[in-house]
Amino acid sequence: MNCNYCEWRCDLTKGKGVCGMYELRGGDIVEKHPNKWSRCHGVYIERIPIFHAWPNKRFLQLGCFSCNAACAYCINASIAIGPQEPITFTMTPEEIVDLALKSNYKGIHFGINEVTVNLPSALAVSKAAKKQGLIVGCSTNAFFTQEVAKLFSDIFDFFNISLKSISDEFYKINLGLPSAVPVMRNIKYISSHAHVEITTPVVLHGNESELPQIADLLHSINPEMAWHIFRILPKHLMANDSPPDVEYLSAMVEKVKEKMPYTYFGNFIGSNWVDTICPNCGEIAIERMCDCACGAKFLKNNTLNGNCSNCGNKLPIIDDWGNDLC
Amino acid sequence: MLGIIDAGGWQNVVELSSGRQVEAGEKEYSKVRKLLKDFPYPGDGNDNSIEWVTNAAQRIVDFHQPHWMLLSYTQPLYTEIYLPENLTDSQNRQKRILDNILNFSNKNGYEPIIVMTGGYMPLLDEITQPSIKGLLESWIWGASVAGVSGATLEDKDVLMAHPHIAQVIDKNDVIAAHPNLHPHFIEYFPSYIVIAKEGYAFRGINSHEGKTAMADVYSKSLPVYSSLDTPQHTKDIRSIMEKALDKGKKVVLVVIEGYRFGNIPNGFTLCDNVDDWYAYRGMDLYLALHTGKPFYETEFPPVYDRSKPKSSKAKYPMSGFFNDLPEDSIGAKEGIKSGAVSSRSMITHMIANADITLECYSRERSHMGLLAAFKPNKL
Repeated sequence: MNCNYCEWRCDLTKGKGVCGMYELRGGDIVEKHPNKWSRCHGVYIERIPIFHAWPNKRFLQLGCFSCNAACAYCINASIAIGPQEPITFTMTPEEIVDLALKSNYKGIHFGINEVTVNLPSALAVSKAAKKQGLIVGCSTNAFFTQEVAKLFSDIFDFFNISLKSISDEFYKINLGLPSAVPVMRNIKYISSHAHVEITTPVVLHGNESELPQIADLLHSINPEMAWHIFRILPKHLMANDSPPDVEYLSAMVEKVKEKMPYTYFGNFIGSNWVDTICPNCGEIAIERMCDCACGAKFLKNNTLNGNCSNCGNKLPIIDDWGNDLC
Repeated sequence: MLGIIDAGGWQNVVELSSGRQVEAGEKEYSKVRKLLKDFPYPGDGNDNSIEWVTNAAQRIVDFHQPHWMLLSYTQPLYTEIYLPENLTDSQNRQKRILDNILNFSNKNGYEPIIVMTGGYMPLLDEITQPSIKGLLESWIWGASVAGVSGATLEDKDVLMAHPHIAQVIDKNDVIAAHPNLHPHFIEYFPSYIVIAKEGYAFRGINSHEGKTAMADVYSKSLPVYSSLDTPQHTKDIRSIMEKALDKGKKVVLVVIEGYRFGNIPNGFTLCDNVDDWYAYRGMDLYLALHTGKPFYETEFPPVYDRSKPKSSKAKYPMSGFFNDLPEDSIGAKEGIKSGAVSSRSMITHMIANADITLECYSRERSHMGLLAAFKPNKL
């Protein structure tokens, strides 16, 4: 019997599968660790990163463990790859939603590890959260099936999808995944149903030459999509490798901005490329700073309810534009 | 105060109060830029980071000649908390740091005051979320203390009955005992602060998922060495340093984070480190050493209720919970030159408030680069 959650489609009669998180029980595929979480903490949405939706709002971030990929540079290998199972705690969907409401979080975000490997628990939390009016989203490698893409699109409001390359060879060598094709397929589908931002981690002498082609692809899907180019600080098997050169990559970022105006460049402290700039007049619409790895920190909203304060251009940013935006 | 961030050789100059870039030519602030270039941080788990602190401090001495310096070494804590007990390695590491300090002080004529913090011992067990309505929040760097936010009165009884919890501090009692608390202190103080019994550590929702072998100890006294007067309390150290500076002496305050509990080096004496119920640790200890103020006269509660959003008016976005530089820090004393080097992120440049501070930029042992914070008019 094959698992239909991710594109590995593992035959669970033959073993534990790639992620090791599902098993057959009474003819059904069930989660081995339901409601188990390795992380549960508050994050501002910019940290995920999501830059074009609900700016400066706090989300409860949940993570489990394991992954269906094995990125050689993984920055979360102790959770995603092992070798030991991390310490986890149990929280029911109701307890999680209660916590999110009590702490005034805008919603819930599944990150830290690949959400597909604990899909039933994530969906249960999401359904309980939506009932209470919370926003729900995830970070994912999108190497899941079309059925799951539909399932996720129906329930998640936002996605940060990691498109690491458009080359099957890069996926095979660096990620242990057979192909980039399902990822690109899922980005296209989900983009037409929910808010999507893309992250492309760049490794030294790896995928930087692909950035113009990735820009072409993303442009064909949605030229106003936020695209986060990450300078990877390699860990795990590439822990001894250097990160890519900032000057070199920033020049490439400026070039791809001609196709994708909302391209950001971060994952290193002090980056000057995480502000949202109005492509019409060049005014800074939202100020941010990189004080840490991953996304950024919100500093200031200069827009008027999402319109450029200088030229009035409508920026592609979702929010209720309430008074809590500082 | 300006900051130069160095992310693996790429440098950016920022105004630290706003976090925004400042236009600066490549030749401006050349001493600071060169300091960053010449001293890349070896990493939290690398013992060469001991010499990184000392050697970078020597460079600052060479170009700035500070009267007062802070040197802060965190390798023992960062390295040993994950490892099962190996006392010989630990003692060798400690000796290496003390030799560094001795050589540095002798060579440059500094009077050293050394404080050893973050005592730890083999972990007996972890305390996870008890059956309460409130939420237990803890973190890896100091897991013998945790906060419980959103708690009920009934939760207090459950917490007090827990076999591995030594003390439960009620926010209302703290407010009643100290009527002049800063509003920020009250706002972010959790419903309860809980303190573990020796050898136990909390693991709450903000905890790192990594497994640890050691538990930090809630240290009501700390080993201190002073070539000046002997302090009775860690808060006294500020006035001892000030007195020596006023007499024209040069002083180096050294903080060594992480020592094996009970393993006190020769020449050190135990110094009181507690006010009321609170044993100074982390940021509060650094503040007490630099300002001489008790914890209840600062803006910062000993444990933060992290379920609350940060103040929207917060300045210094790269500097944690700080909204301003502490002007009463010894590093900002009128008429002296000051400098600091630390392998502890973030806290140092804010609390030392020195003419120049070099610190590593690490989060959860992920090494991202360096920050040199400095006052251009002082260099």
